[in-house]
Amino acid sequence: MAQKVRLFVPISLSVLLHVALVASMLVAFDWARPAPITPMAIHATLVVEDDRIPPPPVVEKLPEPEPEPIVVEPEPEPEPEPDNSEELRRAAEEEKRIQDALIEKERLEKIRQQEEAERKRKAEEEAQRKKDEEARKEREREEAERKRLEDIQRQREENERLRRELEAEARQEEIDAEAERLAAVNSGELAVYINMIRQKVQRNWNQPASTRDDLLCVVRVRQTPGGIVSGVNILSCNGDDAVKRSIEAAIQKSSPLPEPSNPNLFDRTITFNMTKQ
Amino acid sequence: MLRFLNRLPVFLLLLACNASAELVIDVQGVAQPTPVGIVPFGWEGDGPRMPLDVAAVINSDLTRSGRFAPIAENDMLQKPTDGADVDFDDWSILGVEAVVVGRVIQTGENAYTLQFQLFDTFRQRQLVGYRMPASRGTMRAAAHRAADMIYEKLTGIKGVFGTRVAYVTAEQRGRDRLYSLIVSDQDGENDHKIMESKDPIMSPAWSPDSRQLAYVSFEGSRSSIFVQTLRTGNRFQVSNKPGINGAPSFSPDGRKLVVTLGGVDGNPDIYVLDIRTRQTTRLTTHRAIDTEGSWSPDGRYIYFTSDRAGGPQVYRIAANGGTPERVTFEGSYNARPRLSPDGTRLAMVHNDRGNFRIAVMDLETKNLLVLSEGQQDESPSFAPNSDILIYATRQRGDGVLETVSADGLIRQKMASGQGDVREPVWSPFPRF
Repeated sequence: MAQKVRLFVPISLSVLLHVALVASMLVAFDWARPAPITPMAIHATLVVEDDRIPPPPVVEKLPEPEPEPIVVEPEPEPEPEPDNSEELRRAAEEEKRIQDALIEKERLEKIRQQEEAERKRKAEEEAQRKKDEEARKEREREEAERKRLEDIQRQREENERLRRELEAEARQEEIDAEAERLAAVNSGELAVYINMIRQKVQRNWNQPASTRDDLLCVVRVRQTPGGIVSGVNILSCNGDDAVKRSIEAAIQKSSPLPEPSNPNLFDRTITFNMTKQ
Repeated sequence: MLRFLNRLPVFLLLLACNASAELVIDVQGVAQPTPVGIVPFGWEGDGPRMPLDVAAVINSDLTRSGRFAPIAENDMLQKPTDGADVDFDDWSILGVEAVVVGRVIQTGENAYTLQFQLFDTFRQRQLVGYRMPASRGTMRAAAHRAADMIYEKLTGIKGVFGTRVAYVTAEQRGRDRLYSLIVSDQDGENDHKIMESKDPIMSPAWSPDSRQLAYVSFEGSRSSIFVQTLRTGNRFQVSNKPGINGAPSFSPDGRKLVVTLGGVDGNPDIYVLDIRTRQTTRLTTHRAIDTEGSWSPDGRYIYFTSDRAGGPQVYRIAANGGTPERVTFEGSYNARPRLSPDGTRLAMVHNDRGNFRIAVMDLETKNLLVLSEGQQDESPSFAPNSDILIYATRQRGDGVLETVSADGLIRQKMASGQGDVREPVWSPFPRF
């Protein structure tokens, strides 16, 4: 009964550990896939991590050189000829018409150029805006990814911590059991246990006449918790068949082997060194 | 964190001992009798009973070896006579490690088949199984052979139940003493008188093929050495020199004997005698007593007893001659050397604090092990498997035979006929 209670804690811990491990594996598995970039993720990142966004890299766009307006200097008016005034007037009119047309053309040209510059500037602005938007989105994506990795790392660390705790717990129990066993060993319980087995096997061992003085047979014996011998395996033996038979018989006859007063001392396998007195 | 730091030393400690946290248990075993089940054999033939209770012979062999503890028939949960009917659980639950089942089937007026199987009850498999033809006369030998095979499978050592022993008995018949040379199964059963005499018989020795015995007879009131063939009873004298003719022992090839001869001056020395040509070669020339020669199994040396250093000690000399070399140094009295057939140990009579006892020395380590507990034990002889010895001890003034395992742990009295029993010698393995 006490054993059951004692076992409850480690078993529960073990179950917890396993659940945690499996859960972490599932989550980690999900995260490990390339995450589709959803607007949701971007928004969340923006709200939470806005102040942490590094300022976008300032891209200094040098302004295009303003096209130099081409000023056509009017030809210096020729001195009017006194004697051909009409002709000269018509010529001057013509001249002025041409001059006007030229000026108009220049004006139109200038307007066109201005419009062109304006259009170009707008296009550039639009491009810059799009570029900035892209950069922003990229930053958001990167931020989301960073956070995702951070979460994974945090989860991993948590799992690891839990695992370590459970391990330490289990190790502590082992240590306690071993300490108990050692205490039992030191208190002489082990000596008593060994001696009980030794005597029983000794009583049952009828060495045959051919037993040599320097006999040494190493025998591995398996036993069930009741001390029932479940296997006899002669590992090495310098004796003959008669000796080996006698050893097997001795151990089988000693089944069930005596049980220790302290269950911690029980061992499923026992090695016997069989010698001649 | 502090809490954890607090625990840090413990944690480090546990890391340090985690590597060897598995239980390791050292078990030192000893030789103990192995529980076995020897089920009464089935009988398929004329009459209510088989000519010989084979299971009883096997049971007795294994029990007397001291290495087995057969369970009582009453304790058996089943009594199968065929391997197919063996329920291993019925035996392993009793702690029985091996079970023997078998049958005797009559195939003719004096023809039988003895069938046996040995099972490992824990590994649940057959270790050995044989079918042997037998007659009423050879049934006992067949049962011993079955016991030998079972013994070897379970102990890793060759069984000696099928071997024999020779020994000398002395009985009082009126005013005379009657000496007999006896050969029996190693369990004392099935004994046959090989030779009988009113004069002492001494020092029987087996030929390597176990078909002949050499011995010393004092018939005619002087010692002479004979070699006798067991099957025919024919014997021939190989040495009757003036003075002492004693202590024969066969060479491993069976062609020669090492003997003790003492000329008219009465100074015994070691000689090698060629059985066919009767030619002798003198090996020792010391004026002290050199006697009780015995070949090493490899034929290179002859071990013998000599009192050249004062008290009797064991020496050895190259079989083709040379300078004797002292072998025993522990104690004031070491005599009648006999080497184990595997050549590793030397058995002897050793003075152990005033008692003459059987001891075995390891030739490599020189360690001496006293095996017997009597006061006048004599004539140690190794069984052919080098694992058991037979010797004579005294019980209420009469000699009786005992066996002891070479490690000294298992000692058994051997049943034998009446009278004073002396000088047992164990036969080599029979050659089938």
